[in-house]
Amino acid sequence: MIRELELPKNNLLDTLENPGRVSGFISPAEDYKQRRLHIAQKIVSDPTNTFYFEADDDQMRYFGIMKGSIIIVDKSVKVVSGMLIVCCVDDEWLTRKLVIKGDATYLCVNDSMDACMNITGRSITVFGAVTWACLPYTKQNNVRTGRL
Amino acid sequence: MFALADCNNFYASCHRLFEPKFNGVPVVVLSNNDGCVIARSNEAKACGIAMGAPFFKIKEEIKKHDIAVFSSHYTLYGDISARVMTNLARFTPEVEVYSIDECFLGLAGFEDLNTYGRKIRETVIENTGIPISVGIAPTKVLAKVANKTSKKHNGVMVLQTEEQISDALADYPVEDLLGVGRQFAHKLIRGGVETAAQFRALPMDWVQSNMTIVGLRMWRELWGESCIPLKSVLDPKKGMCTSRAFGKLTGDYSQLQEATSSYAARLATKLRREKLCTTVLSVRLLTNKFISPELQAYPAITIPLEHPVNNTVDLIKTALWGLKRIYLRGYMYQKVEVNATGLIPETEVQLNIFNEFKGLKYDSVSKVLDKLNLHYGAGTLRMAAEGKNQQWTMKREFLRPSYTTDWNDIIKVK
Repeated sequence: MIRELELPKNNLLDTLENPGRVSGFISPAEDYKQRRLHIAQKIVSDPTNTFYFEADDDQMRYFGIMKGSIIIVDKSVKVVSGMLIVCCVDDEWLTRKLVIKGDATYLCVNDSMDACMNITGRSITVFGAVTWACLPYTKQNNVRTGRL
Repeated sequence: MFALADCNNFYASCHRLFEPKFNGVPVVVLSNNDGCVIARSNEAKACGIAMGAPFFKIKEEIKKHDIAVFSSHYTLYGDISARVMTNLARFTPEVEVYSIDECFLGLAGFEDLNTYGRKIRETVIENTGIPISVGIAPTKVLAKVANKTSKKHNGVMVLQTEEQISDALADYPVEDLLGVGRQFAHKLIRGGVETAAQFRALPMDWVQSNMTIVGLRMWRELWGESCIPLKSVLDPKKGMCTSRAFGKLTGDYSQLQEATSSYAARLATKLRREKLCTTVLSVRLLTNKFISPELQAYPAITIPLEHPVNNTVDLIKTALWGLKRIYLRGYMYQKVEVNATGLIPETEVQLNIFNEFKGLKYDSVSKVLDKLNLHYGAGTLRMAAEGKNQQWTMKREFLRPSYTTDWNDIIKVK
């Protein structure tokens, strides 16, 4: 049972209860009505198990996560090696790429092995897998690139 | 078959999800106003912190054992609870959410309940981060027994055969049975009945004549005969209460007026949300029970209403009228309670032939109030009587962010 997304209605912007209701001629589009797209349908497939975080710096820019990015974590997605995750290490929240090679476990900020922190044997708390990251472009003075 | 899923140390677990460093260390959660302990992690229980202990009395122990302290955060608990319950409801169409952290599931027709129970438990833990335990048995009363027993095992317990059931009941305290109130428990323990097994061994006639139909149902359920069905449709509410302790004790009449108005307004909003009207309103003042006995006073008044209402104006007026009658000067009050009883559905309000109802105007004012507050957030528009600088509001010194309900509070990651 997955609930349909309840999107809060903004009365200032969505001014009409039903814009297709007409007083004169019946709309020729009446029979062809479909639900309008909303980005939340793509990004949040299971709202019940979705949590949000915000990137505090540009450390993960290689993977397209920049300061101010909203990081979407779906806890129902099983975490495996190669995924981006949100985790807590020594009381600090991090987003990193999880790499498991044989018996060793690493947290990485890009795909070179030099950029990896070896956490084998250390106790960390994995919160969940990152499924999306959204970066707002309108709130910045300069649009930045994710390139190193 | 029924399952009872119960979150382990629910409030503490909610906080640990967002502050993992408190895993494995003692944690307590305080009541509204940071008054007393309402939830403890297992580690805090082991430190000897009692349920309901007043916070000011245990400050020493908290320091000594380095116990983490949290103010209660019902916005957070409510959201996490909804996540847990929604996940549970994915496993069966028959669901009864029993409390903020407990849920009954109907599992009739399911096979291999051990595996299914384990799957339920693992899924909820993975998807929400909240540890739960699952007890499965032929009746609700036994499911609760199974649930308690599961906490000592690996979190899942199925009681199916008579042998499994009698084993579990042998040392199960009678006061922990589902539906055993303090009165029943006292009566039974005084009579030498201390375990569920002893209770079950009583003759049926004795149970029927001494413990009413409720006791009999429980007794039958212990024998594996299901008498308490899942409640999927809730009974209409008969009463509603708003009360909360003040941040500081107060004897000031104008502050009490503000608090009473504010609680009456909140009550009115709740009534309208549930489409109910009240016919009786009561107001009660309470002093702090931890101070000396000569300073105690609990004045109260119950006011029958001429006409059933749920509009804010009439309820505030009535509550303030009541406050004026009961207020005693010279006492320091900790709490005001505003209670609505004799609730009836809005649609069943009968007009009184002796009195003309003047509240219609106020009803429409309340509608506007609700609409605006829904759109702009609770408390945006309120009655002037509720005060502007409310000095009596809650003390929440150890309040954490609203991680899941406020965009400004989501966690920043590096």
